[in-house]
Amino acid sequence: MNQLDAALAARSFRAGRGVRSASLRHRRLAPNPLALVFWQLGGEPFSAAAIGYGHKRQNLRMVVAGDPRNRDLAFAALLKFAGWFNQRFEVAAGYREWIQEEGTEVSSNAPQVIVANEASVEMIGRLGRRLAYLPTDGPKAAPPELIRLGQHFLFLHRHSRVAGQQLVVPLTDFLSQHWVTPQSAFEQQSLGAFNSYIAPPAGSSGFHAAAESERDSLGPVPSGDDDQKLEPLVDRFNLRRGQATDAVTVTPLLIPIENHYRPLIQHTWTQVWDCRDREASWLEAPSVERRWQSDRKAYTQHIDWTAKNGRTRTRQTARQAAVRLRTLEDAKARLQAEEACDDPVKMIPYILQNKAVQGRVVRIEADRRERINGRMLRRPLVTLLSPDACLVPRGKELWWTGSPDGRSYLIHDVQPDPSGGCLVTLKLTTGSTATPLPAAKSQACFSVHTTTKAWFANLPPTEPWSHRPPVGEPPPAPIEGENPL
Amino acid sequence: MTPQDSSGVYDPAVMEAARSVANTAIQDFVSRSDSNRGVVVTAPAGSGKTGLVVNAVGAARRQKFRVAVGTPTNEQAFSLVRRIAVDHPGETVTFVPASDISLPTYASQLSNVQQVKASNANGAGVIVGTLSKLGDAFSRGDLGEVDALLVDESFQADSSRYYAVGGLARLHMLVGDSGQLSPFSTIDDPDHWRGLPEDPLQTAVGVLLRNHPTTPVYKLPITRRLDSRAAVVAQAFYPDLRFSAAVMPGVRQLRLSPAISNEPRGRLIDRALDGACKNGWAHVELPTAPSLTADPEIIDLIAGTVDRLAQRGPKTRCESKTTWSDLPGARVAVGVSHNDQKDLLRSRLDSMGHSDVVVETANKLQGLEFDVIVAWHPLAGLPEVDEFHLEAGRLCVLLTRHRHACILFGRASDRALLDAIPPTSPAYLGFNPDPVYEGRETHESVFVALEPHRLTR
Repeated sequence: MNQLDAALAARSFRAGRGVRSASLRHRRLAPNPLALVFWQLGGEPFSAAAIGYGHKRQNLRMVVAGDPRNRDLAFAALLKFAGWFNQRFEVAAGYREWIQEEGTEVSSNAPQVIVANEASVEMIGRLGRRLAYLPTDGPKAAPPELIRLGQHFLFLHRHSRVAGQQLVVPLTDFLSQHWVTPQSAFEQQSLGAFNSYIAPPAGSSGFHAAAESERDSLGPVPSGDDDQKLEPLVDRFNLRRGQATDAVTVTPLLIPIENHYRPLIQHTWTQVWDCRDREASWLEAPSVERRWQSDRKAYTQHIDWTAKNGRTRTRQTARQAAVRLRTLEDAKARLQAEEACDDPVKMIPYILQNKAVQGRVVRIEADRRERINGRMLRRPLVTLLSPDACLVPRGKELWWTGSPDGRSYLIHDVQPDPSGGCLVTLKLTTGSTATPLPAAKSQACFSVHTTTKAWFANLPPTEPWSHRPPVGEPPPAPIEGENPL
Repeated sequence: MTPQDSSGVYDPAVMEAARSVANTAIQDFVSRSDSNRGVVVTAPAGSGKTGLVVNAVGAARRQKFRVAVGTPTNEQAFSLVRRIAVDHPGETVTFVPASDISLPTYASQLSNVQQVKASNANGAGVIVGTLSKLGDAFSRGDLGEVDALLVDESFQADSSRYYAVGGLARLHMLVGDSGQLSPFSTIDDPDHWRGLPEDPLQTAVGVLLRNHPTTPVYKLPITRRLDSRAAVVAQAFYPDLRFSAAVMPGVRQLRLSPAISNEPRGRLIDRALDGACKNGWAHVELPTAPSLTADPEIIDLIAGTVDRLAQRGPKTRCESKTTWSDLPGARVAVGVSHNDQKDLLRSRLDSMGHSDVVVETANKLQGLEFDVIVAWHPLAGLPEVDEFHLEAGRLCVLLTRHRHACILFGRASDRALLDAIPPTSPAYLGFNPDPVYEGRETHESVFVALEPHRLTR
């Protein structure tokens, strides 16, 4: 927790409601997201017992498996869901536009999946892992739609690790990037409790509203009470169906189980859409578009890869892991930089950590020159009057938030000011007159954040001898398929 | 220094043992060039690893091998360029810089150093660069294969950087200090790959030994930087590497003008300074108190200690300068764990006129050497412990930078933290060490080793 969050948590506690830690909305909230609500059995995390889904608040659909521990029943439910999901997830890939800076065609739009919490993203990952690698032939051949669903889910789960991505939005995480409450990170994983603290009903305090909401599970893990009510229903369902798993026999028998899940799903559904609609009303930050474009690119690559029957390894090669690490590091650094440069509130922690300095521009020496390698070159100076003491060391490289992708400045001098603050002089590291300078008398902020794309070292295409054993490891035995346990 | 001069200064048995291990390792390295093969050399802090790398370059050149030398950072590459060029005046050392990087004057002014683009380095006998730059040039095809690759600081180099240069040569020599900070990443779940062979954050040595377990590992049993008083404590950081100090006891001496303050804070500082002079260590333990990361009381005491040290006219003598000479501020460093500790101390020391004293985090102090270190204990005043603060490498860096003395500041609660319930640490298949548990053990044995030097108010 940074100093700002600590101060805001105290303020939120006193106010009895959530306090914003951002003045803008730093994630895209698409107009018609694919909202998903999952329920599993307490002891079976690799199957969906019930799924609620839809792309508008008004048209919630749901599917239940009956007994998700039975492979045929679980897959039948997922297949029905896949029929809806796959088509909606893939449709955006049909419309492309040329993006100059990517040097490639990218889908003009991309689907956005919204879920209640991080646990739902993990559920998506587990289902994806189970479905994506099913056999397509032999006695246990799986329908291709199910495998495609698995591939999409695996992609979403993998992409969810990219900082600032917006293809799958767990709302609890979305909220924690924009709001502060005194709740712990664990407590904030309950969307109901977090939501209630942020906006408690009139007349009640966030603390009590959150305590009340915390009783309800929003999925995918059920509360013990809910599963206890479910158990006799599943037992009766199994008794009445015998060995049958066909739709004609099973569908009418599912009604009591559907009735069990309907209010649970409806409750989560309402929370998800209330939260989404409230947050969508905040103004979107400028850099969201850049990240959305990079999401679209990832989505396009995924769709194109699966379209030509490309497979995804369950385990990365050393090279893939190395590239992945750099990609994730770069995404995180750029996200932090973009958020801080977009939003003065997001910059405050960096000012407190001496990673940024802000103040009023009191002097600009645009035509100042200095001798560099024997030549007199233009090196403009900008002096800020900062209201705070400045502990940023001399020589530190900073970027003006007005042009975070431009050339850097160096801290040239720091002098105390009689007002109690200090005068910070920064030197631009280029003589080019095309580089903009902040305006005199304006408020300006310089920080360690730059949005320039980081340099990526190339990696050799073939694995070096140091990174592979002299004799390869044998492949693991198949998990599902010809060799059931 | 001639052999006669060194009698009584260096421990001949320690010197001979180290020379023998180094020579065997280098012989092993250059003896074969027909197959993919690695040699690993691990060494404690200040063992003269760079010297070994320089000698190995010389031995490889005598076999007419073309050699590439890679390091994790630019600064390490600069100093290697200079060392190799000075020690091997007959060789041209070719530095391959990344864009916007160039050699500092101390290296570029040497007549046998050249700085060229990667595509112009083919055919050069000795090529030096960062692992990323050499790897990038190799994978683009700008730089062709060479006969032998040396990687310095290979416990700091992560597997992904080593991957880039792995194909550059069939012979590898990986040299490093296993006690230093492990590779780290800023991402949210850096443990994602932990235990898997593809883990990009394991060390270069780790990935080589994992895939080629028969790779010979040589252990340098010497520290040249630390004297015997410091080596006893430092041994805790190297459970499977026994080593001894090269200099004989009493050769390193720090002297202060006698003084004792008449107020309690000053007396504590003077006692710490006197203890550090006499024993090489002082561990100042403040009373238990909840505190911020940037604990104002410790900032005040560290700044006060640096200031008082300067006031008391510090003089040193050692194996390379046997007459008393003044200790300049630039040979004193303050080591911390967090940037806000650094920023506040920097500003305080500047305002007291000690701008020449270095203040840095452990990460930045790696590989550097000073005469006196004032260290801020990583656990000082923490309400609970975590992997970052328990990492043994952090404490190791802070306690092994000094040639003469180290003064450590912490709180009484620091030791109690280790007695409390340890933090939960997940287990990873295929990953044996438990950094949290082992960090805890190491911290504990360091406290025990420092017990004779503990001072309280």
